[in-house]
Amino acid sequence: MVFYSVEFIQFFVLFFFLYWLVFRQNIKWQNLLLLAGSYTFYALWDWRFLFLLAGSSAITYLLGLYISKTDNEKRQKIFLFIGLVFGLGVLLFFKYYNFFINSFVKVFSAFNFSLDIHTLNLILPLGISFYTFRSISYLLDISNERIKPTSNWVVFFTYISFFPTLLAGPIDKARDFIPQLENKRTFNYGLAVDGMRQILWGLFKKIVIADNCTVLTNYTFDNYPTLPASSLLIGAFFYSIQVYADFSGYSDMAIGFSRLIGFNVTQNFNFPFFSKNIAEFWQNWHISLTTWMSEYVFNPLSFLFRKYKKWGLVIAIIINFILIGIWHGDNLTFILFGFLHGCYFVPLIMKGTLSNSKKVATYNFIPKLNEFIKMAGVFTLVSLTTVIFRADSIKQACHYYTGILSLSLFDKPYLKSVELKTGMITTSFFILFMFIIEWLGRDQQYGIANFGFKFPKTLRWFFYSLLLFFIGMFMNTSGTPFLYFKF
Amino acid sequence: MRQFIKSFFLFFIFTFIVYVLLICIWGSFAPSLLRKNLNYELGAYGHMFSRIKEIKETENVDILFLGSSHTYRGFDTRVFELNGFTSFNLGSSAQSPLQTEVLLKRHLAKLSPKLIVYEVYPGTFSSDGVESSLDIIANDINDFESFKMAMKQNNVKVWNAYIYSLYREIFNKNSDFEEAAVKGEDTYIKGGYVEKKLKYFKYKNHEKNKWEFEPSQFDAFERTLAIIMDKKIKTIFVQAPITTLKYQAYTNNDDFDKKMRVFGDYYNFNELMHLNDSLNFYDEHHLNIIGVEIFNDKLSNIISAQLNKN
Repeated sequence: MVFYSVEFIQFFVLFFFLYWLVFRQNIKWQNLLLLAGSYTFYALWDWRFLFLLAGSSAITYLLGLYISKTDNEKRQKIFLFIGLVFGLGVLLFFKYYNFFINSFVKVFSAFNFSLDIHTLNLILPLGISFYTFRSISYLLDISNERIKPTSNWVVFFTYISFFPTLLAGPIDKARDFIPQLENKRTFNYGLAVDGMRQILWGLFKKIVIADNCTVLTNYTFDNYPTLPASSLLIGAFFYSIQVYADFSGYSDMAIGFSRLIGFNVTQNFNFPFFSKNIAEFWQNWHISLTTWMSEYVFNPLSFLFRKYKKWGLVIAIIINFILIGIWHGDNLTFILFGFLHGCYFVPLIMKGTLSNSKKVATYNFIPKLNEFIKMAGVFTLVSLTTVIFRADSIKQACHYYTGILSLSLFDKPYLKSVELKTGMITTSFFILFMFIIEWLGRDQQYGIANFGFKFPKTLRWFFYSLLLFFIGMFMNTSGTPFLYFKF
Repeated sequence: MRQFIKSFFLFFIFTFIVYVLLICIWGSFAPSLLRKNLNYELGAYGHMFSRIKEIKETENVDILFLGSSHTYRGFDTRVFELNGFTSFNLGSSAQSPLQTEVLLKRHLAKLSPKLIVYEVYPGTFSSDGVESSLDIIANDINDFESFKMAMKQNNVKVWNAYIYSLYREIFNKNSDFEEAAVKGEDTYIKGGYVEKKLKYFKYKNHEKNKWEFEPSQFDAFERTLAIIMDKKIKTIFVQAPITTLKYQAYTNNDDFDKKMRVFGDYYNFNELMHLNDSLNFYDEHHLNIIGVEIFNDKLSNIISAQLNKN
């Protein structure tokens, strides 16, 4: 039941009217409906893991209360420890059990010991990485006395399972989200219309750009040994755009649906491809995860390694990014992906320019040449690193890179069929269109937040209708699931 | 809230109008490169336009053939005419039960056959039926049945083609169109059969596969049978031969056979006769003219027996 399926639209319309027309007078009932809606939404995806979601929420809720109630610091730490072990334990079990077992067996077999440990046929519960991080931040914030635990279980369970953001974020922190659940919500016309606009922009990015890029990148990555370097390079560029359009498109839709029911959810992307260095890129990419990691991993680590000065910062940042990589899944490629991104920060740390970057083209309509070169550099670096993120193994990624580093880099890109060729031309046009719109709206939360506000309403509506027309005319009817659902 | 709902509905109407207008403009002027989800092809591969045109001059036939391209490329109406039976071949590209239902509702009364030979292929029961809908929308009339078919499929390609087709019908844009009887290697034969210039099939390996049936296609199939039963028309179900390699690549052909036997007289020619993949086919799905002749001879005996029973 993806956001743009008929089933979800039916579900949401029913929910929307019940939420604002039937239950609006009583916040308790409204929250209860939100909880019931979230659990129904999750069950429609996969009811088997509903108990895990409920169980995980119940344990975190109780531990939160225990941590807050006890004055004994040692007990507080024990409760926090239980919460962390439970949350991370479940996550590690479902995400990394098979990886650990296989790695363990491989290491032993290198020393001629044969181990017969069976892997399990595990299905990853949807959204587990996202709701586990919500639970952990809740316990850590209570333990650090940043927030008080909520005594209302409905509020807490709803915070963990809030359906627009349950499956792939953004990962809202309890201190930002729980107050919104505890306060009365009134329908806000401006917020709702803004939400609709953001959903539309997210839809366009996902359906017109990401799904069409998928066809091209699948072709490139499936046939990379036979393709010229130029095709491989273009494939890498298209893949990074695909990931961006897919995940930021999803985030826009999640935020938009949240706005329709009166919630402000953390912004997850802030035009990362307009960044002039890698630090800026990560400040604008998957913001809710990077801020989460900064707060709970990077900051404590940099404090721990402070005596090593700049090198302490390097160690902290590399560990932080390796963990971000591991968060994505049980493949060495993700660890390498994280490690490389961590390494890209080293020159900035050494030069002391980690946090003193200025927004691109602040006073100009177009970027200066040096800004443009820097943005292109970041885009190229990110795209090339994304090859590792996409590859099935490090070996495959290395072969792909070897393919790029050949003289055929200057050959005409090869695409097998007419459909692929036309697909590349039209998709390139829409990518350019997306970047132009996002460039114009780069000071806003999303590309079309204020787009065309100077023009009459009819023209603006025509623009929105045109986006819908492009969706209808260029959507990939075979449908592609959101990339981040698998994380 | 009231203002939001009002704005939403106004925007919905506005967008609907703009969308329809853009489809008409896009379909008329945009190059095929930019018409990804507007597959409107008048007189497309399969001669459906000629078949529909011929129906207007045809009535009261002995045999009506229904089904996919296996039908219009596999059931030669001339062979049955030699045996003394008039027939009409209403096969169309990838025709699935969803489209057969629509075609029967439109044309059954006029054709009024004594026997229906319904070609059933597991592939069409496993498909979404979009390809065939596009063919029918472009080449047949568009009535409420087309709308219902589009609703059932709910596919953007079908909706776009439907809107564009309606526009062309309303503004009489197809009135000058004439479909050539000979197109490349295909020749349209009176009665709906399409003859392919003699060609042979080049051997091709297949990985093992399994049919994944679409429940909606079986629902449509049952509704179609209800229409036929209502008219008390004798029906036989035929699975036309495909290459042995292709047929045997599917591991659950038996499941399909079991399902079909429940509905009545069912003949699976992949089991009943053994043709040579290279000599009797021109591709993995379709018989060449030699194969058609062998297959039709065998089928004629069954048909004669069925019609003589009546």
